[in-house]
Amino acid sequence: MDFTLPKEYQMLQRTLREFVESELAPVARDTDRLERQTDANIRKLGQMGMLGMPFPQKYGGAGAGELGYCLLMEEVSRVDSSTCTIIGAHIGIGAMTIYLDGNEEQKQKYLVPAARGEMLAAFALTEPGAGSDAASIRTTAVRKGDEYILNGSKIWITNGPTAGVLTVFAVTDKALGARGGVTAFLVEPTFEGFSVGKLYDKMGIRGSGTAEIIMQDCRVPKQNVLGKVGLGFVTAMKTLDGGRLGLGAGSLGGASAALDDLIAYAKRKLACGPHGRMEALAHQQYVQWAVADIAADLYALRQMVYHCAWLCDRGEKFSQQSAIVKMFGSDIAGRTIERVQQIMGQDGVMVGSNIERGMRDERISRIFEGTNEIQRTVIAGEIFKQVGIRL
Amino acid sequence: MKVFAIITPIPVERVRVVGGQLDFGAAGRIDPTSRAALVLALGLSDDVTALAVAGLFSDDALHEALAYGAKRAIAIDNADAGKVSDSLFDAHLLNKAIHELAGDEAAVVFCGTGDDSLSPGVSNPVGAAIAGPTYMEYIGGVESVKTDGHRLTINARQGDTLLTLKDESDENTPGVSWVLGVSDVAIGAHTLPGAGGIINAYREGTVETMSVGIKEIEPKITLNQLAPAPKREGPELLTDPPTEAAAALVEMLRARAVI
Repeated sequence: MDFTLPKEYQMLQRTLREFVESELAPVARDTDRLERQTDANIRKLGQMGMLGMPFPQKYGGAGAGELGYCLLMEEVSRVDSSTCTIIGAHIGIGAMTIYLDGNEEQKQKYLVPAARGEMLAAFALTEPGAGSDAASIRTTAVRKGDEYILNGSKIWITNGPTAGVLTVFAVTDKALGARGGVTAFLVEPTFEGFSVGKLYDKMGIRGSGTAEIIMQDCRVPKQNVLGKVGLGFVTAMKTLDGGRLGLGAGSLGGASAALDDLIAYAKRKLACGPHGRMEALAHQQYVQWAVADIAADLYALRQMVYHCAWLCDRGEKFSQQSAIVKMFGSDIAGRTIERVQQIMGQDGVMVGSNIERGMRDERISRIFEGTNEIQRTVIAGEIFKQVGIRL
Repeated sequence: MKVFAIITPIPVERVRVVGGQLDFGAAGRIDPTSRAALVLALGLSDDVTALAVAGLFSDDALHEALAYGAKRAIAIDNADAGKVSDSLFDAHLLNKAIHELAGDEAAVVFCGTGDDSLSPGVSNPVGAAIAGPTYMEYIGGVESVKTDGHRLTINARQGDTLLTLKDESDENTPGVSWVLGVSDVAIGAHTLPGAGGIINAYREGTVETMSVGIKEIEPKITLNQLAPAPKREGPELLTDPPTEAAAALVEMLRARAVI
């Protein structure tokens, strides 16, 4: 067994660290405050091949696989969860649907420009009446000649306001429902009948655009059916496996940054010691225990993330593992940031501090792309399936 | 015109002392001024050959050069194994390799100068030493280089002055070979390799090895025999009281036509 990151990934990690610290970190606060990532940074990410990280180079990607994608999410999330969210929606669940189930023509038309960062992608599954219960979507798609007519709306769509292509899931056979009655469509915002609705005002990841999208007699060419008619739910579920892994990697980055902040704070901040002498906070046992606990959590999470990425890159099934990574990672990120904030006291709640922004940004990671309760259901389902019980 | 970039590897991690031994860590990278030099080289030509003396981390640093866009990456090895290497010896190895690789063409060699704080932009021993053994010209503090395909225009900062040097040779005469010292790390600060370039540098890129034989460095400058030191008379101690001693000193100096 060799747990060393291969040399190319070590260099990728160093380069990513340098990029995020020199380009993203200086503007991360403004990205949050102004509620948008700068076009210049998205363009730079695209030019460096970051927005096509896992995809093969013949489709405009970097060819770095899921491990490369996880390193990207981890490093970006260390400084800016908003940008991490944009990337996650673009690569992990937007463009990934096209890579997994698109035909060659669709890959050339949509995946190549998306991987090169020339346009963003989005994934549109959630509806007002179908969040965790994704199988209950009501958006309809009716075949009419060479087109499908889509009607319905989708909510909480990351990159919804900016995407050049959206993978929209709609019911093509109500009787079959999720088991054969849902189809995925590649929808361009310029298609007749498509509009962006409400822009959401969120407590965190404010630099990523999230919107409602509306299809009102939206005309989608039949060649924009992604995968096979009726198998859209399968596309959605296998895409979410990778998406969840990416979110876990993002949680790893966010929690690692919080630990770094805590260590720096414990070194800098003075507190009264046992003999009335002022000494660094690091000498306080409760701080030492917090650092040790967080380090142990991160050690476990890092192994999980990289191992799961390794499974994915080997073409093995990883549904259960990715659900574990997402659930475990976001739970760890949540409790890490809260613990760090508690130790930092007033300094940790000041607007503009990394930990304050981290606290607001992190909260959603236990909710989106399947709440952690849904992840537990997925994990248990996979486990019981192995002993013949279908939940 | 053949364009080269000299790559100096440095450890990724801070060097530590562990058990009385220096621990350089497990990975290396290009030092920041070499990166600046490489960035300038790649701005001049898309056919850049990166060179490093084979040794600790040279493989990592040369792969990084490939990731940045160098066409070839070559580790220069001393064919006369067993020779103890030092900076001057490495410079001679590089010089010899450059001449073998450039052949009849003029060579433009970009070279990072390391930490510039000691002698800002004026000169650097490594670049000068590479140029030194043969006919190449050296200039430090290079900030930008342009070419019209044959002649070079070099902007170099020497102290507070920005010099512009133009190669005036015409197309019928061979161009001048240059070693260009680059010390401004800001030149490469915002230039990073792309993700695909990094992956390809390792999966498809190859670091070649080139053996160059140097048995010993023959100094080109030999010291002339020193002229004999002027004969000096021994000191004379004036023991008279101060007034008389001063008068005697004045007389003595007058006698020797000093005053």
